[in-house]
Amino acid sequence: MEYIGFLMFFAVMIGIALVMISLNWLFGPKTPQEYEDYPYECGVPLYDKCAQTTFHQGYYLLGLLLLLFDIEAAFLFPWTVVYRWLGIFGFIEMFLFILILTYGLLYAWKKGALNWQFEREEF
Amino acid sequence: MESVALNLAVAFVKILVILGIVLGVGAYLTWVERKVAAHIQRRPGPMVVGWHGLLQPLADGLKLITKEDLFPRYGNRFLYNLAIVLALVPATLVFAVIPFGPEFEVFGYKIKPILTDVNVALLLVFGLGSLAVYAVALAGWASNSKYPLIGSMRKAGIIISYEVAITFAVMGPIILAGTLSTYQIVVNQIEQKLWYVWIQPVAFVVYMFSLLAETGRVPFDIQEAEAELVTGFTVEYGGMKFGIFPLVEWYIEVLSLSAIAVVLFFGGWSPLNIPFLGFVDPLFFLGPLSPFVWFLLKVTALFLFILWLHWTLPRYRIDQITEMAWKIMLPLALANIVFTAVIAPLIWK
Amino acid sequence: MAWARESDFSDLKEPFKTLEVVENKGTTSLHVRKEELLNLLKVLKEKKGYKLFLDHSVVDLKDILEKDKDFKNAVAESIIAFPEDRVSRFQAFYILFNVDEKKRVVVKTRTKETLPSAEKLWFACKWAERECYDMFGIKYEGHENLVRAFMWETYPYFPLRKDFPLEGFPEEELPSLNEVIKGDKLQGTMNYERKHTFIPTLEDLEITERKRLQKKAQIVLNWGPLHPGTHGTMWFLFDLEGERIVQTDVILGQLHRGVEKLAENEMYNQFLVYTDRMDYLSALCSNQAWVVAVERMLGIEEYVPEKAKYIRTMLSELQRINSHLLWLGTYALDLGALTVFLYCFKEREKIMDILEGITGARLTISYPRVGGVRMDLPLGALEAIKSFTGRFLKELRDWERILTRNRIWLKRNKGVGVIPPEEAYFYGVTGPVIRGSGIPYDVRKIDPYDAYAEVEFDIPVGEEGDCYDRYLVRIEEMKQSVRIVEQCVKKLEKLPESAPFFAEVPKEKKIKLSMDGIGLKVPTSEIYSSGENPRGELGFYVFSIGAIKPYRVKVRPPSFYNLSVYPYLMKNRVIADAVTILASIDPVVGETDR
Repeated sequence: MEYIGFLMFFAVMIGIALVMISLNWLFGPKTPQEYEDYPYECGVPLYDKCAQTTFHQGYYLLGLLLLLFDIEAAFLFPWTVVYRWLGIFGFIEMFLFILILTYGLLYAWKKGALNWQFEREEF
Repeated sequence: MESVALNLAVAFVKILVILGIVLGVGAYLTWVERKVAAHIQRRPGPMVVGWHGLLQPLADGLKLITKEDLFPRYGNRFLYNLAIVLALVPATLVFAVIPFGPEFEVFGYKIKPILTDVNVALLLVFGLGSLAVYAVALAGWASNSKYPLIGSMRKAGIIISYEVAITFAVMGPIILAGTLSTYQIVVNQIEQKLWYVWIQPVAFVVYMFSLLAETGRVPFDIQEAEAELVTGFTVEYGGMKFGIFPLVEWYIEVLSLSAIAVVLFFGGWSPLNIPFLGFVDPLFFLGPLSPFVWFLLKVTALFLFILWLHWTLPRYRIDQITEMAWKIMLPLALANIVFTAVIAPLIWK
Repeated sequence: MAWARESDFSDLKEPFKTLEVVENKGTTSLHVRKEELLNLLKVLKEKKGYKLFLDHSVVDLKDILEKDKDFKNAVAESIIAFPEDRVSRFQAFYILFNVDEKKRVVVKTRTKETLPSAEKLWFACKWAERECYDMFGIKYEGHENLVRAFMWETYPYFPLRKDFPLEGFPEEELPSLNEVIKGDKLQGTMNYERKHTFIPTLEDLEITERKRLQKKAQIVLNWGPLHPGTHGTMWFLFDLEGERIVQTDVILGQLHRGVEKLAENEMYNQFLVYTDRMDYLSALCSNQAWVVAVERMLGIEEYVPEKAKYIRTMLSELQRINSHLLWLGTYALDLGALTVFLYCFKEREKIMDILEGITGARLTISYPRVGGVRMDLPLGALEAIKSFTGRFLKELRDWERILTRNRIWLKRNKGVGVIPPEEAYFYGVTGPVIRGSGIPYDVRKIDPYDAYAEVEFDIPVGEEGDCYDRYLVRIEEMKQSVRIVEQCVKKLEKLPESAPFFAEVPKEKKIKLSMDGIGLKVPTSEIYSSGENPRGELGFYVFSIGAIKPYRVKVRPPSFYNLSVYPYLMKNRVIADAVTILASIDPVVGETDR
């Protein structure tokens, strides 16, 4: 029941987004020219026609770490809510959990996974 | 049956109010930003369209609407348009869980100025916040052009770093409040006579860093760094399609995340706080309107603070940003959780 | 004068059979045959300490060789190497600088078409050779990637050769917009020639692009020419592996106007206005360097009145502040600090107003003249300058508070774009860039011109040679410039109001010196004379055969050689550093392309 408002809002926003997308098509001029849809690369011919190729990223390991830590955050959230009623047991439990988490972070740090990887060969 | 219809009608009114705030205020914040920036830079800013340029956002909107509808020739049209939907919708939906003020009565009917008061509100906020990255990634990929691609990859790099930091940062206030409902967090702060920022300054700092990073404000505006990537992932967008992205990133998201910050750290609609003693309300003469004004004032103050940073600082480099998130912000947030867990029982007494 | 003496090279006579040493009024040159050229350059670099490469280009002697009178004059002044060789059409010259003993030398050789490539000795030479190949069609043996520097690859001509007409070869029909709209019925002056020299098509550009760079990594990104971060229309190719740049090359020539060709067809004072348009941010400094070069050729440097010298010095220091302000503003803008940009422009506007009040122009000034300046200082000019310099240091301190100790600023600049001193020589950088690497190379001290010998100032140098050092050097240079300006103002206040501002040359010199400079003949000679521009050493190599127009002018553009270090600095850096490094080198496209 609480989510009905949310769903209504969602539907309204989808509608607004679609209107926004079509505004230019409705009101804009339509004067096609040869190079107007050429991908912007500073006004010179493209060296590579397609940009959708492999593109090395320096944060691949960070992405994996994000998965781990976000899952752990999902464990911690329920604990934070009920911590009030858990008492000292909850504290020790969580303390150990965060200790292990910190150890994992330090391990990743030591291994250099937190650095931006410029080179592909490093790992 | 009647109550369902009434509920729906109230929800509809609330949606209209939120839309007014989001789109109207969001658009007008462009004017505020230009004025603030101008005065920081010792110049008057927009002055021509309307009194002190007050009609400038309207003129900008008209200009954006009457541009030709362009599409990059090697791109993917469906994903290209989907990116806009994914940018606009989740960012606005966050406002559904923001409490604008305390419960009030109209004709004997109790109304909470919040669209959906659910017990997982904060999870909803961060879930929706994470969706923003899809918009940027899709925009970059679907354009099939190199500058957008690089820009969107950078944004993804930021998000995966600060997503963790922000989740761990908000756990401090949640421990103190013992709930995930935004409305209840404010109520608990008022009951405990404490703005959480007084004992959660570390969490607040980490939260602010993450806010700046996720919204792409200086010093973290690298996904659209003009001097490097022209405008990053929005290069191939034109007209209103282009207009959506800055509107969402720079205004709607900043606004919603500032509002969440106010809820978590500054006691929502409560007036000025003296820790553990109570609240002082210099705006008492406004009567029942005072909480709403306080909420707006706090959000505005945060927004102006962010603008001040934006127009003063240089920007970081991508590797520096991510390394800061993992090496400084995350350990700080983790330490803060332990610290909060230790002192939380004292606060509850 | 900062020139080597004949005696310095006496020990080289033995190993180099064909070596001739000639000491002229304006230069000292070593003449050597092509076969021994590379060895001589190597010995000069490694044994004799001539480590800093200044310039290399070619003079096309075709017209001289064809005219006996000119040829005899030139031989009499010994400005032609190996005059017995009347077939080899090109005379190449290399200008080198001895960093220990602070003196220059010119190495000359003659060739028909080919030269050995000196790119292994100085990387800057690689770029200079590309330019000679582009402009004269000289083939360099052993050059790694000999491509055209400014023109596109499919361009068939060599524009700086003497047989290439000034207006080019009209080959292509290019109707004007008026003709397109109104049809082919234009009357009077609107009905001009429709044939023009042809312009490159997209295919031509694509060939140029592909010849420049062999793709090694994942994506080749065009960074520029229409890009906010490149400070003008510069076209970089970044070969990207992720955001890391594996290799870089630059395609210049988007703003190429053939200034050197124009110089051969203009009188000495007429060329002054083209120096404005080379480095358009420091027009006055370029003007000054040019008029000083011509004055030195005429031998009238000592007749230029003191007042004119001080006015020129003062104004070009103001211009230096002006130029550095634009650099600081755009540097901060590139790194995201937008507000500093507007603060800088506000102060810059004040300098522009002062310059406008004195000279009548804001950007392209042309105020100095051969023999003095165009007009006297107006009333109140010195007061305006004094009030500016008084306030300026305060403003500068304010901006430094925003940037200098800013953590983000340090993180973006420290350790980025490091140029060690040896590399600075190798790439022939000058100006704040070489001073940032800790080498106190400043033409104002080494070869003082105008009033620089009489004013006091210090040369700031860096320690590491990174972007941050270059930033600090330029900031300090602005303060030193203020110091110079204040000294000049003090001196000018003491001079009587009726003091002359234009030279009176004694009759026996037989020089027709007038304000407009029409008909000014410069005796048969050559000179390399340079001035310290905000961006580095702006040199003019002028080759005259006694006519009212120079036979050949080679401009040594500081930005061009400073930019040559860019591919080296960009190796294995990310795109975000590209803007930092480029802005800290601070090239001006008007000058790199000429």
